[in-house]
Amino acid sequence: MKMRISRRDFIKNGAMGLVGGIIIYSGIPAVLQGFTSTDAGKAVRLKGPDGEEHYWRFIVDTGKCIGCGKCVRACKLENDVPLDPEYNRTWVERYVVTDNDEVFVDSPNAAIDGCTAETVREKYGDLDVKKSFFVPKLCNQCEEPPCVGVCPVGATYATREGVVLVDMKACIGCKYCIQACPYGARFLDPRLRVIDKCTWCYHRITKGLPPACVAVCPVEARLFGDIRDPESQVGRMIREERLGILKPDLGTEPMVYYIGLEKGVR
Amino acid sequence: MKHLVRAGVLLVIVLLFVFVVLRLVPVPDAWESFGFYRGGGDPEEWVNKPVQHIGSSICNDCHEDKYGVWEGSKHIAIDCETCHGPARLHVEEGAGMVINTAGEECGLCHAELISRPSGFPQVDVVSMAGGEECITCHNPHDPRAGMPPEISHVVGGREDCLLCHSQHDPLLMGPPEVPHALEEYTDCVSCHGSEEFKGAATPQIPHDLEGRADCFLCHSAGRVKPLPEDHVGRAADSCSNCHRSE
Repeated sequence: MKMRISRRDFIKNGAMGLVGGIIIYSGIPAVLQGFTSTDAGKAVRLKGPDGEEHYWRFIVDTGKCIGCGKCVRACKLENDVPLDPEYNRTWVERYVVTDNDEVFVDSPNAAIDGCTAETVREKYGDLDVKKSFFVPKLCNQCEEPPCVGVCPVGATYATREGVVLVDMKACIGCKYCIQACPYGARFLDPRLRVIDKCTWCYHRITKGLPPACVAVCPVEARLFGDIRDPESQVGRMIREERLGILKPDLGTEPMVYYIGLEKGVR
Repeated sequence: MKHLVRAGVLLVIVLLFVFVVLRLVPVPDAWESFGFYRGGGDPEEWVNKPVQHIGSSICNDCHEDKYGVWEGSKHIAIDCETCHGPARLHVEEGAGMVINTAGEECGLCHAELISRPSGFPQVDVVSMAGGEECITCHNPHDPRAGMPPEISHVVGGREDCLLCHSQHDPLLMGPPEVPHALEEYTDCVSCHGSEEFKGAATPQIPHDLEGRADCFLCHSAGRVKPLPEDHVGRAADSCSNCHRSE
């Protein structure tokens, strides 16, 4: 059979198909969700689970970090993260800058056992080291979180306070968010096959406790607080110190600030 | 012709419907209710996780002795759980707490590394301890207590310390190596008491010493700043063994 179709019909049918598809695609979910959703028209909730508004910020002072890795261990024990070095909600990076401005970065076992096992000299030999320092890393709790936007099932979300969490019951473990996070803060929990990430110890901060890594840091290289709290050291530092963020060019608006960032630190 | 178009349209509708329905299963009800914030109640699954690191103050309920020492020390800045690990199970269920008492544990913070801030106290753990563990001399709850260390044997009748404690001829008894040269010191007991307690860190002298050979000119009874009581009877030339100028 020879198909004959006029230009007019082709355009007409094509346009109808397109419009129809759009209507179906956008309309059906709304219709179906109308049957199941219990939140339709609910007002925006301003307060956190403890009934208070919070403006939490996290400050990392790289000039104080001694790379002992106590934060990494405490995080894993507090949050039941596998102790294997591949799975980390937080880790400590060791930077080495040479006289030629080459930058070497490593994180021996995420620093869970400190950084004494293989020193810079042992690892890099006769490198002309200009300087070396530690940089603790964790989820930046971005105000514009790229990981949330890419989740195909809406399993990851930001709380009202801005903490980015994963709904473990909804997550299908597709790992799009691992790809999307510019800071490498997410990983797949091998036991449940769902995504896990730093929550700023949400179960602690909602009870007025600092995150575990902050609590155990022996040198106050990690600080956490509510900037609205007049007693808060973090609030004072945000007013007084000069703070940087990681990868500002990406527009993710992190809520983790760094003191003493070097240009090679990403 | 027409039936082909119809079949195609039907197929598209069915596929879209299947996609939408399948997607409804995992997507939470309140997805994207308010931008990045998802409505639909509190994130209870995260709020209700157990707190493992419960803080230092509860340790005082049973371990007053160690807590009291720690409270007055330089290590007050460090939580009990930083070294001892999370305490929840220990408190609630009586689970044991294990700590590595070897020098490598101290070295996590205090081993010499070029990556550490230069002002942070760092030592070559191996050579300083001379084969001993750090805690042989240092109380980890108050690392400067009793520094310099007390001599653990009676001094009477053993006037020549170097007879046994020589850096070049390590011995059967006592520390095989000490962290400072021995030759220039003649009066070991002036710092390393054998009975009296030595208190905390040796205070630095807040002025420079040039042209001030006789410390006792100012630092003796009735003068500007007398010696502390436990220093009475010491010779002026032994001050600099312990006290340096800033």
